[in-house]
Amino acid sequence: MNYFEALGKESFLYRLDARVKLVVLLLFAWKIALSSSFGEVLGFAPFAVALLFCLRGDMGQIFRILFAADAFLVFLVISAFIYGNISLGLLLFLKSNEILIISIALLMTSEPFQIFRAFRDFKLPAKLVQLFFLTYRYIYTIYEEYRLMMKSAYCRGFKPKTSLNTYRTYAYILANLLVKSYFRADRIYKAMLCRGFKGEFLVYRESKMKREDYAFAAVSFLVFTMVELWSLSGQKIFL
Amino acid sequence: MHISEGVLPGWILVTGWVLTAAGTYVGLRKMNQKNLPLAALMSAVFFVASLIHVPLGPTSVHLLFNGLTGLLLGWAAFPVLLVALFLQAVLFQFGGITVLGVNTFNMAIGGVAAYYLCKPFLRRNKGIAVAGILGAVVAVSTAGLLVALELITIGQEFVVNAKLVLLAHIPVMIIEAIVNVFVLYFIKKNLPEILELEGREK
Repeated sequence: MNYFEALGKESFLYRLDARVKLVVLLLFAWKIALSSSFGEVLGFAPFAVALLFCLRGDMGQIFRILFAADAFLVFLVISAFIYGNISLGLLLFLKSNEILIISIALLMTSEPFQIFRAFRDFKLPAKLVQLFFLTYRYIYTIYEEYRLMMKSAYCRGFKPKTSLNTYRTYAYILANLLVKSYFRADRIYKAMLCRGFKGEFLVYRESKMKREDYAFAAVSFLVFTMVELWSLSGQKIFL
Repeated sequence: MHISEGVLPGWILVTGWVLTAAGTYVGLRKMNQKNLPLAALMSAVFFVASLIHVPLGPTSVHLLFNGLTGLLLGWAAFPVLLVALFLQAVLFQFGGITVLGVNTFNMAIGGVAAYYLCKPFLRRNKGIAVAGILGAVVAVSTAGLLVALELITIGQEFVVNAKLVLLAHIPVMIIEAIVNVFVLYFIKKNLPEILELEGREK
């Protein structure tokens, strides 16, 4: 697992406020997910493609993410095709990939900590937000610990195969991670208390909405309204 | 198994979010400031554990560990899995934002069921193996069954897919049962306090 790097660092999408991106993502993702009309779903396609171009990221990497995420979907689409329901297969494929592209463009261009800060601003329960912060903070630490233990297992001649010994080794490694986490959690809690933790993480970098954020929100809502009006008036063409 | 975005009908997506929100609410109420770091670390451990591919014949599978999460954390499995699955959606685009409620419910409810079914066995030394096996069987089969049922609601075309999903969960269930037993034995021997986490949460 490589360290997560936000996509499109040169694009304006990276600079946008995570709150705006989350609201726009939720609006479009839910609308597309709940839609069963081809016309409406197709109407949102130009927006998704435009975001992809704005991303100015490595297209190869983006398509690799799309392919990996589509594995389960392809399995469903093939089944729909075999049963002759081609339109359903196409609709599912289109819906899923549109949401994926919008989600890549708006979610993966934010640093996870920015997203969690946005959750805090949206007044999600404080404990849940802290859980997000701490989990993400420690994923890489724990992954490094896991890698170290695997390395020492390999040094002792461990070869993964379908055997009870292999499963036992993996189980002990996992159990060790749990035991180490138990002690680490105690240290973290004490360190938090030492720093005067009173149930809330204080943030020193308060994010302010910029003109760019308002402009992006306005354009997105405009596109959304236009597609909705267009699909309401022109649905007969696609039925 | 993560269900993709845009596949399930709206009412399932909404029901999934409502049930997950309710489960998360109960889970968060059972957590306090002291055990919050521990829950976060457990979430990180299960995130990492789900990336491990264990060999199975010529191929490999990745385990779910939702049973073990439930056994150790009880209702806190809901927020813990919600966070882990959200991070998987952000970092790898597995699953997604609208379907996150359904995916979390699929995984967490089996964990909670495993917690209530296996709790009596955990107290006894000889019951550890039963708890490990039962935990894996209940949690993994619930997750598989729910995904299969949800696929059928899209249309009759997906009955075959639903059957295949169920079949794919059987080897996972068997390996996970074996791994669970070893994990629980190790913990019972070295740090039995972890097994009493849920009881001390209030």
